[in-house]
Amino acid sequence: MSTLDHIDPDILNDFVTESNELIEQLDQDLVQLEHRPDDLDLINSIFRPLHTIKGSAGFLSLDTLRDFVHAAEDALNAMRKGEAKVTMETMDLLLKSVDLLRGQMEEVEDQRMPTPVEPSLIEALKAIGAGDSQASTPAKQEEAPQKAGRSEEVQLELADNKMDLLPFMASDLIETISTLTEINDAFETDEDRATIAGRMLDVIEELRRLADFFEVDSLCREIDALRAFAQKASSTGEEIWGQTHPRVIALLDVMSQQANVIGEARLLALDTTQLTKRLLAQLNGEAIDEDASLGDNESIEHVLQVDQVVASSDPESDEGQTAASSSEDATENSQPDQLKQSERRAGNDRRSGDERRNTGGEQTIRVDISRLENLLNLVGELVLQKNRVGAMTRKSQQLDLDQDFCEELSQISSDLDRVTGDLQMSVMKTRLQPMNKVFGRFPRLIRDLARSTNKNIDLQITGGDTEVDKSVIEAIGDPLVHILRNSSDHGIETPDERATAGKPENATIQLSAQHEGNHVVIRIADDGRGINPKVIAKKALEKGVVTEDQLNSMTDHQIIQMVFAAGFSTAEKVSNLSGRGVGMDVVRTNITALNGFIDLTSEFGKGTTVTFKIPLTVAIMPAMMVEVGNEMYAVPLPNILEIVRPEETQFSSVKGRRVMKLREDVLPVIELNTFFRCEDAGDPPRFAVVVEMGDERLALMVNSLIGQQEVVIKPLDNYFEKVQSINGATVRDDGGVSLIADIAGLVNSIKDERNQAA
Amino acid sequence: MSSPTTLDAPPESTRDANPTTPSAPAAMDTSDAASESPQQEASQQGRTSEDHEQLQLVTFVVENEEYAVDILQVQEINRMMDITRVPQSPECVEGVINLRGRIIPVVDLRRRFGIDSRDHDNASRIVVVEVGERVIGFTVDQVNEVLRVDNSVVEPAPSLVTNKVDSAYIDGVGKLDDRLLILLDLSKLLHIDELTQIDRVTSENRDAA
Repeated sequence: MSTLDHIDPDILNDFVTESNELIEQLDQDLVQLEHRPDDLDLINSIFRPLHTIKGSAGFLSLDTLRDFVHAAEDALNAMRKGEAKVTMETMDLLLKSVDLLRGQMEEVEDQRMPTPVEPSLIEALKAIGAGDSQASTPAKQEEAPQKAGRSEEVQLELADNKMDLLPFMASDLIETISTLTEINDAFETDEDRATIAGRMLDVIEELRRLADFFEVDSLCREIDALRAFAQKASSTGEEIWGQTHPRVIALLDVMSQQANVIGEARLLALDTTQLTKRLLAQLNGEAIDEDASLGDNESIEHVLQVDQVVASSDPESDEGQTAASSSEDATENSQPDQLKQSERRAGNDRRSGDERRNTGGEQTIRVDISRLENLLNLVGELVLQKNRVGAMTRKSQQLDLDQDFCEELSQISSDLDRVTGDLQMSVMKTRLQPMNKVFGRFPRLIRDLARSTNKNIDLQITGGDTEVDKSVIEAIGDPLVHILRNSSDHGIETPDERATAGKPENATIQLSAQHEGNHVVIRIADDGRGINPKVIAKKALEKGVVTEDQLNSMTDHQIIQMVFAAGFSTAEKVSNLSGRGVGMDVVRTNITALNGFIDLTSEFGKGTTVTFKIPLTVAIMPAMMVEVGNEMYAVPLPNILEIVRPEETQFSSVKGRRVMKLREDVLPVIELNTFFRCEDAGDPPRFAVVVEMGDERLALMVNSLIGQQEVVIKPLDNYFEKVQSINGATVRDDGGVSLIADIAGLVNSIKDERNQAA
Repeated sequence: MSSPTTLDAPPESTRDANPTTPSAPAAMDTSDAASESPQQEASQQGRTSEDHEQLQLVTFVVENEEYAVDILQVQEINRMMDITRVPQSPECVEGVINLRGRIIPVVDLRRRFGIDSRDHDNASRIVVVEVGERVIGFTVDQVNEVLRVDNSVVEPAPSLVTNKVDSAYIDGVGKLDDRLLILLDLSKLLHIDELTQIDRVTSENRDAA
């Protein structure tokens, strides 16, 4: 098999990464298209990534890939023109193509030439495209003038290999025009026109060479006009100068607007024919129409109006937006006269704004993830050192030191605190990714599941832009797929069953994500048949997960949570909620590994909701430092509900377990000094730290409270893998090590105890 | 504050120890130390022949017995510092320490050998070793010196060299003039399965009693 050794691996990698992102998008859009077959914008947005992939593939000489994408593009083109219908079958074909494309990308990633797809598929794609069996490029060319006729924008048509270079050439163009504008501005202040004109001419030559690339006639004509102006600038009389210079300013403005969009293969429909014609005529001393002559200090807007550059915008036109915004630009630049001078001087600012706009597509850079990890680790270290400085500062206040010195030290310490906090937040943010990264593949998943089970399922996604840490994104995918599969396989009934139950034939699965404090909450809610607690209870008894006694004291809600119990769902098919070999306990394990929490609610006959609650980040968290015996532990702040100093009368004993009455609730009590078997247990602990994990709450008795601290969670060696009530360790501000109490583990130990007792 | 400064070996061994003990901080490259030492060592141990490889050993004492490990495994030797106990951990694990921001476990070698632990004193040291990918510390009663010995003095361990250590953890025995060094196989000695194994045995013994 031929390899791709001849291609620079970096370029290849970029191509694969970019294409994979585009393919991901394709998948989503195609599924959308099935629902909205008439949405032209959508078809166009599907068309674009395909076109990009085709272009890049052609550039890299990946011919098989290019031809394949080309066929798919043709099929879509036919749909776009209404020559082919969007049907289940055509969509199956296109989605299959996307899958194959993904496979080919993997091959490319392994530096192999992609295997050609079966000719039958290409034939089938071509069949869809039939009636427009021509290549798509000429088809587009046909369309372009037609489009221009009705809208304010023209598509820029270039050969594929030029398309790849377009963004780079465009940014060169922007830069050159900007330089030119800058030089031109100098006319306002500097009297030596000849020198300035000379500088202008140099840049114009450069610009002219650049312009050839774009194959845009108007651009070349504009540059020619500029050149004529620059050549005559030194010899032009004041009267003609007054007429021509504003036109040049206006012309440069138009050109810079064009340059800003040319990178996206568009051109604004700004017609400068009149402007350049008049400019040249005036430079040659020829007379022009009376009403075309300009007064002193004409605004750009006025010039553009006089020379009919600003197309009279058609409000009906769907793309009139661009024209409107460009005339807005012009308006901005046409402040009253007295402001104009200062505006000109502030021209640099405006241009930097332009630059910001035109590089908008490249505001991101790809960073190797290991560098971010490294950065995060360093910030973690910094937080530790900051904590130590804080501790030293507090200590110094107790010493007999100079007052000013102490004040300055504490100022430094609090500044350091703030900067570190900001830095930590910023670094955390670099690791945030939108949930859509995971959600994106679900419409396709649900579609396929629905197709294979002959059910009608609508997947409604909300909160896809909710951002969470990368590690969460990575870990959340599989659990979500599992739950979604369960919902659509077992939760949702067939259309017949739904009709009988008086439900709408189309089932709905709602997938949502939202922030709640320091957590992200992800919900998967279906309107299927729900879970029957009786079935679960029966099964749990058979499996020996619970005893009869325990069952009797359990609520329905508690009963259905048992589907997450180990050894429950991996077994034979359990009612309507069985896994595919992967148990729900794995789902729970994955979520718990993220310090998260999972909850299941269900109304029998109405539907099921699964909720994940997961901390946004995993490495650094706020904690309450507490003293237990003579040792110091950290209790995660997000789990703490309140801290109280209970009276002896609040305690009692239920079935041999010490409990504490807090208002209406009775909480199980864990005395940490005995639980952790401290050698020196010290006095009986006085403070109750009330913590919550899921729907379980308990009171942790501690000897004293030290204070709040940001702790950097460090994993413990696997010597301690059997330790369940400890979540990791952290370095204290005095350099010592404190262990972090694992609330989930403590809650489980209470549950275990309960199970054993029963 | 327990600053992680490194050792100075106990007084009696200073002469041998100074140039070669891993007294440099973490960054210490053991191979450097080895290349520095010959002029000092040559006189003492003498190289009997070229084809015999030399071993550099760190020797230490646990309950009157002298043990040794290959210096290449030793990352550093620290004075005692605060060890944070970890609940529910294996019996012979004393806890964890902060080694310049890294949290590493510390094994009590006395308990590991089934000897009752005793309070640490001025001579007690934490030997930090690299075993596979892991960095582990263990406490010893005292560190003696760094020795350069000829490979030939090391013999395979007899089946029962000491009543304290299972021969499975012994790499060999080094016989010097009047001393017997027990070379430890750290990867076995500090393997997690072995550590939990002891726990099971002791708890069974306890149950039986």
